[in-house]
Amino acid sequence: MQDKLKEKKGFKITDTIILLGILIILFAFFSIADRQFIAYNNISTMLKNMVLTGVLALGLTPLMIARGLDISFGSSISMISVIMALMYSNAGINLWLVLLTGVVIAAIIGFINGILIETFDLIPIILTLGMMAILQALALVIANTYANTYSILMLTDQLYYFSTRTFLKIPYPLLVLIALIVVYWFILNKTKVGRTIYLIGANPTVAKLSGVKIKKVMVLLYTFMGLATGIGAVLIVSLTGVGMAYHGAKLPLPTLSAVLLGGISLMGGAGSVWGTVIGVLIVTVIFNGLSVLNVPSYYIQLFQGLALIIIVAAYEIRNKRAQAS
Amino acid sequence: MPANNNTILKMESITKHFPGVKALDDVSIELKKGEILGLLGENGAGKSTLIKILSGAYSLEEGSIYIDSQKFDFKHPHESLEAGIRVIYQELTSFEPLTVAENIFAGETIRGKLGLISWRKLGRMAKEILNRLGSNIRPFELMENLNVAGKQMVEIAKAIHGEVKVLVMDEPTSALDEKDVAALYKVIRKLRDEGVAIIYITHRMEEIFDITDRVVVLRDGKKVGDKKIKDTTKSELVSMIVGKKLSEQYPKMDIEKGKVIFEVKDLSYLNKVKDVSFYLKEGEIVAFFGLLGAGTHNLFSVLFGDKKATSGDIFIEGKKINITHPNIAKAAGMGYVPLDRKEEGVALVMDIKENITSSNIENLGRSFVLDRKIERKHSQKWFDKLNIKAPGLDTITNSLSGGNQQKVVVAKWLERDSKILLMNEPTRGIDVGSKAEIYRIAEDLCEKGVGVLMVSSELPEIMAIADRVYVMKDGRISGEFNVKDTSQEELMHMASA
Repeated sequence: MQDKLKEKKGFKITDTIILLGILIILFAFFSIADRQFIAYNNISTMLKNMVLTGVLALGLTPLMIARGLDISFGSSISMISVIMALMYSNAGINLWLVLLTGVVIAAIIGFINGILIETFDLIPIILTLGMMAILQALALVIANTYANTYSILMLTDQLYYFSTRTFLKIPYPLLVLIALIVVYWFILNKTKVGRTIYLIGANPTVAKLSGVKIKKVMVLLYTFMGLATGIGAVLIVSLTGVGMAYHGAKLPLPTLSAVLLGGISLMGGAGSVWGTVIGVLIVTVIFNGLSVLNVPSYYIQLFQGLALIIIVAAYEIRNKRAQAS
Repeated sequence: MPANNNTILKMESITKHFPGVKALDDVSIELKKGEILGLLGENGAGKSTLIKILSGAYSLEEGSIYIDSQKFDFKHPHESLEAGIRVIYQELTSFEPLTVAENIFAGETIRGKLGLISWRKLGRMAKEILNRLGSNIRPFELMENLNVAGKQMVEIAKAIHGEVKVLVMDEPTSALDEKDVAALYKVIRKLRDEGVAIIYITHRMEEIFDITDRVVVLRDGKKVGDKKIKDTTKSELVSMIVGKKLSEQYPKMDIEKGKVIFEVKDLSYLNKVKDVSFYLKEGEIVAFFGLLGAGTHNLFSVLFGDKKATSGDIFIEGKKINITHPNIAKAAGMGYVPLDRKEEGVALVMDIKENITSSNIENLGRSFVLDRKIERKHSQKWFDKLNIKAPGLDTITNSLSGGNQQKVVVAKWLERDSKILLMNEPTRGIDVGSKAEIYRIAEDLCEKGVGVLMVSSELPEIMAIADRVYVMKDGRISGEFNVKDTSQEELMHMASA
């Protein structure tokens, strides 16, 4: 019985323990390497970094479990942050309306991704790759056209308070992430929709022949990814105070690394919210730890890339061993 | 055949344990050159374990293997290949985008004079092997253009090149129609005449009597029978396999038929299904019989909404329903047990309870929350009723035998209380015991007024449990018969004339 439980959904319980172990080791390593790592300031910086990657990784989780994929979220965040900053700082539009517009536009982009992929049976990575390029270009075009620069200030009291205030010592942005974690966990594990998502990922043919309207569900998942992206855009302007056409350029690597680390298979059917959360923690610790050690940023990217390759290879080797037995 | 020591294979006192189960218990078999040995047994009897030990996929625990009087202990399947053992499995695996020749020689490079790959040589060698098998498949034909029979021929070609001493064929005819089976027999006999020893695994009794010389029966890991085919009968073999008599196997009940529950008029789908019209009454089992390409499988895909009909109408209980997606068919009370249970029937990575409830997720609780108690209760009910042999509801379906996987698929639709059940080759590749259980399930449903539509290519099965049968040929219905008033020969004739 225990063996069967362990094999559930391709994410063995022993995996969680291994990942937790890795997390603890990494944390210990960086703490010993430099005392600054566990300083209050640094921990709160880490938590802030984690929030952005976390929200996006969570959005990707149900999508990728169902065999979908979206790599355009980075560029989407860039463009939307620019639009929001222009709307607020240049056009003086009400803050809440600006934020709402940003989130809505992001969701619409997600919806478009979904509709195109499902209507024309496109390969997700290719469509979203194209979308990524388009959105990045649009971000620059819009920024240059209306502000002659790629970075536009968006300083607001409300967003400042939001990003710096805490509730029971927990920063507000982190509360948002925690809330989302709870929501996503609940949906995937406790609801009928969640079961349907896992079914689609496990075998789309079986899902269709069980009466699931796969295309409908996928479009919904892409739209929700868009929504998560929108929330990410709001978070990034809160945390940085600017809308910038390159804001999201470096986001795909750590986000996808986190998601894959957490056990989501590119082939679908496998994955869980906990896995993603631990994946995000590990990626954040690595990034932040290396920064504290004053490793130059291009080296950090090197390590992130290496980590991704090693992780995916490790999972593949483990899968092959399991198949052979 | 020469009388002196012609024994090419000897497996002596093979015993094999797996965690919690003794898969093989002191099993010994012998095989002579040019002999065709049938290997029979229910799923779980030990046939595939025995073969996997022979092929080196599993390690020898107790016992010995002698090939041509030489003792072997394989550490890797590659060693068994080199020793002359070739196994062709039920699930054909081929590299679809490549050509026939490339598949035959997959893993080897055929080089020409300059050390580069020689396509000409490859084609020539492939042609040689195909000719040897009496096949006229072109060496550079694309695999994806071949039908199932063609792919299987390529699989055989792949298995016999090099020195083959023992060829094992696992359910070779499960996806073939009668015409291709005859062609396959020809090939097997040709190989036998060349001295190749063949182990033939099947669940189809007729084939055992058609093609084998001797037969070995395994039950619960032990050898319970080893007889020359001319010294035994179907009844005796079935008793050995199952421990029960044949007459208990397929009891046909007399069930009262109700009103017409499902009707199809002039249904067409591209050029695969043409103007098909038929009806189904409550309590009936109606079979569809056709050779490969007749359109039976496509018809069922269209009926369930997996493919969209190009013209025609479907009526359920008199009401016209436009079935454009399986979820419409499902909502209208239809259920579908698909052709390929591993790819279309069950989600292999999910467990039994998740699969049984997969068509009924919306009813697992009143709100958007999934009620796991209800999930367990419902799936336990079918688990017990259908006698699914597994450790429990949380068993991953991948580890179930074919028969039990099929039961899970059927349970899915029982869970939905389907009024019209479509079954596409429901007993293909399934052991005798599970087959009988599936027939029993179908008849229980009929008693409750359910109508069953069944595609089957096993005429004995149709004769045993169907009430009426429609024969299909070239996409059209070429005949409709009451099973009581027809014969296997007449049906076969209608399908191929």
